Amino acid sequence: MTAPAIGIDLGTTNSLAACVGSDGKPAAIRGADGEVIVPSCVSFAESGAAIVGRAARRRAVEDPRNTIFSVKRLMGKGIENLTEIERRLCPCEFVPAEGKLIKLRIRGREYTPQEISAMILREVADRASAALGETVTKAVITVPAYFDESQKQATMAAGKIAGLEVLRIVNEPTAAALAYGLDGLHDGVIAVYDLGGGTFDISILKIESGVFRVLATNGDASLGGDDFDRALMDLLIPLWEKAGGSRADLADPGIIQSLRQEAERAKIQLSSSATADILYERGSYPFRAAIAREDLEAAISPLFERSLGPCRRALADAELTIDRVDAVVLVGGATYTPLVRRRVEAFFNKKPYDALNPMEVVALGAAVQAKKLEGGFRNLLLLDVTPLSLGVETYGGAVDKVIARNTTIPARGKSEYTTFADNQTAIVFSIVQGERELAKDCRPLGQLILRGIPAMPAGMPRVEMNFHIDSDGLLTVTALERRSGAQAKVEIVPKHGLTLDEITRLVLEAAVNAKEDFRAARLATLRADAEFILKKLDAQMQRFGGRLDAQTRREIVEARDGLADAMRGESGDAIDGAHQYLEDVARVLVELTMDDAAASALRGKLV
Amino acid sequence: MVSAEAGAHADSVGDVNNSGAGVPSKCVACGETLISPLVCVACATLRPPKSEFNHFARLGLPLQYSIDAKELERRFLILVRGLHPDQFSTDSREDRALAEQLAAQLNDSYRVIRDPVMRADYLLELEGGPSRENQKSTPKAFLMEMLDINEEIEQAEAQLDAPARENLQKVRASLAARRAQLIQGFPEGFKTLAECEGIRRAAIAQVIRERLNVCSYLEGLLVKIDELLLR
Ligand SMILES: [Zn+2]
Repeated sequence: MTAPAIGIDLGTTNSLAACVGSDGKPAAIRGADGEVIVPSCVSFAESGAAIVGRAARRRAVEDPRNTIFSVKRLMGKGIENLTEIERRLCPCEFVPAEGKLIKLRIRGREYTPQEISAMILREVADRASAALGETVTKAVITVPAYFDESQKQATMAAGKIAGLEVLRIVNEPTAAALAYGLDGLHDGVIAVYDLGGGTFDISILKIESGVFRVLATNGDASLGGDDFDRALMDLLIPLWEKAGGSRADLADPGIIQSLRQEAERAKIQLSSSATADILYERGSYPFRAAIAREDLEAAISPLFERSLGPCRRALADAELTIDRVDAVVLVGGATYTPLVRRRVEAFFNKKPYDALNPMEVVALGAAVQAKKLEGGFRNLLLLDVTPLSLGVETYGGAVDKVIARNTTIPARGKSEYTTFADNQTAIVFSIVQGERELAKDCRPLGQLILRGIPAMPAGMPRVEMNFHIDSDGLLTVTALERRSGAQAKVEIVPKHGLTLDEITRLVLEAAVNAKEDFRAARLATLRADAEFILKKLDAQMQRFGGRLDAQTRREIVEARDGLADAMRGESGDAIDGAHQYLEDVARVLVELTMDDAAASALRGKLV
Repeated sequence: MVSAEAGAHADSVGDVNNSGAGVPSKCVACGETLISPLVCVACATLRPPKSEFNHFARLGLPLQYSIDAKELERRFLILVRGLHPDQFSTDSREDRALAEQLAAQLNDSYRVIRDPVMRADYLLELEGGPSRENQKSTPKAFLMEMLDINEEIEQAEAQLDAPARENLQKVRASLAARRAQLIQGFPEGFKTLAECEGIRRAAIAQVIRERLNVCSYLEGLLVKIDELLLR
């Protein structure tokens, strides 16, 4: 039996899958560990095996050089258009590869961002297969609406490398709107404000009796919650320096990672309380401090402001004023931030509608579209747009726009050109994407060469260019010289993308290595988990061990050593079993820790 | 270098009968009356395009400038439900490919017909009037006036403070009103064009073209002002 097609939200910081159940409603898929979210983090163990998700994130502090976060920010990018921030995200080495592709060198092997993303997709799909009891083979994967062609194609390639049949690439805010529509949001105009880990999208949609029509979309492909964390880190660093840390130590990726995790923790705390206690214990310069919500808000306010320009542009493109918007929905983890909620509400003059979990809503919508593409939901229809204009570079470097931004897809456009020299027999067309007037300021997508034009005086040939964007948002360009019938056709493969051959090779490699990889990865994950729990346990034993009776203490120590032994072996099942046993035996320690924390919180209040 | 307006496919008018209710024929598969030559929404049969239909025909609308916006919207939604590739996702590869083509055509036609200026531009060419390339002129007085307006915009651009923005808003409002007024004259213009012949017809077509040129000039300024105001 094969499983139904699933929806996957491949996020900058977190990923998850959802699936439409037999009740016709989408639900997030929970893994065997009880968690819905898989952190979009991949860490490479000494053996070279890839550890994905929570276990990988835990390794970030110990092994920052071999742990990759936010790989989504690198998707479809050339090494020359990486920002400083994006470089800083990855402590590992960037390798320029052929075609100006980016590769990351980790433990002596090179990986493209597509391969790293494929590992995350594989993990999410495997968890879904386990939960559904059937092998998942088909998926709808979401991308930020404002991703350009290269970035979308890179995501498609990642899906293929992960061994998935990618039914559709869907824009995140559109997927969110679909989930809300199915959840009973009324017909009308809705604005989807989607601030994820690394990207910002705003989409304006019109919902009318099951047809979800995107009127306009805009965004900023490098603005997200990660930037909030960084702003908070910039507040922490001076405190750390006051405690004795020096700028030079900041070159240590382990220090940066641990400060970053502390910043993330503080940010989450500040979403629900007015101050966050910072207790930084790692390394030689521990410090305690309190950060007030106002400090954070002052730091992130300019970042929030950056999201309003795209909102205004989207409204203008949709030819709507703010009062015509019937509902505003919030999507993405960063919209938990109180400042964001407050300011979005003020901008749209409307209380945001948030019946669904902002972390899950995109995956839910993707699941709905997946079901649709398997023949379900006949009455639902998604009409999306192309977010950026597509055009041809003309003589002199200007751009002739052939399909305007926010055109409904599938779309087509046509334009005519001619030669500028006598007896010119070939023309090279550069296809670009973007809103700027000069081709050099737009994203180059690829080239199309039309040969075999009969010798004619300049200006005589009539070359017709036809653009077709399919329902995946992918572009095909054809050229035809009308007098002679000379033709050329290209499916645009972006300059920074993988060719079909490369994808095929990677898919094959992945399939051959799958079994071996799976075993190695499982072992590495189990070991990493065990290592983590042992460290925690030892610390707890030191604090609370004295309060246990001798019998319990002995049981715990024995179980601990049992796990340590199993870790040195090669059997995953043995590690798993020993870990389970230890968790059972050591539950009393967890209870002691919690009681202790509760007591000290109470004391704090009394003082 | 570019001769045709992107997306405005210059189709021949003779492909489909655009008179009366604009309904071309009945479905060969089920016998239902078609509202568009692209698809039978009754039995979900896609109709391979033998030749290209014009934008009005694809939406099953009569070949005339005046349209009922609500009716256009209604037809678009019915047709797009009928031929969007997602509705054929479990059908053959050929059907899906055909749906991709037809949906792109429908979207294109809807985009052109919905916009009052693009629609006028397109209809004028179908009616044999001068194209934008053939006649680029605008009234002299208009150009003189625009020199002043351009100067005003440039001054505001240099400052872009609160009073400059307020001034830009004012300029924008007056230009938008002017464009709207020109558009309101198109239904009458096209009605007259349809009734006339010979030299008179050519003269009317010239006037419509000139007004269209003014419209696109104004549109360009409006886009520029909007960009400035968003800065
Ligand atoms: Zn029929």
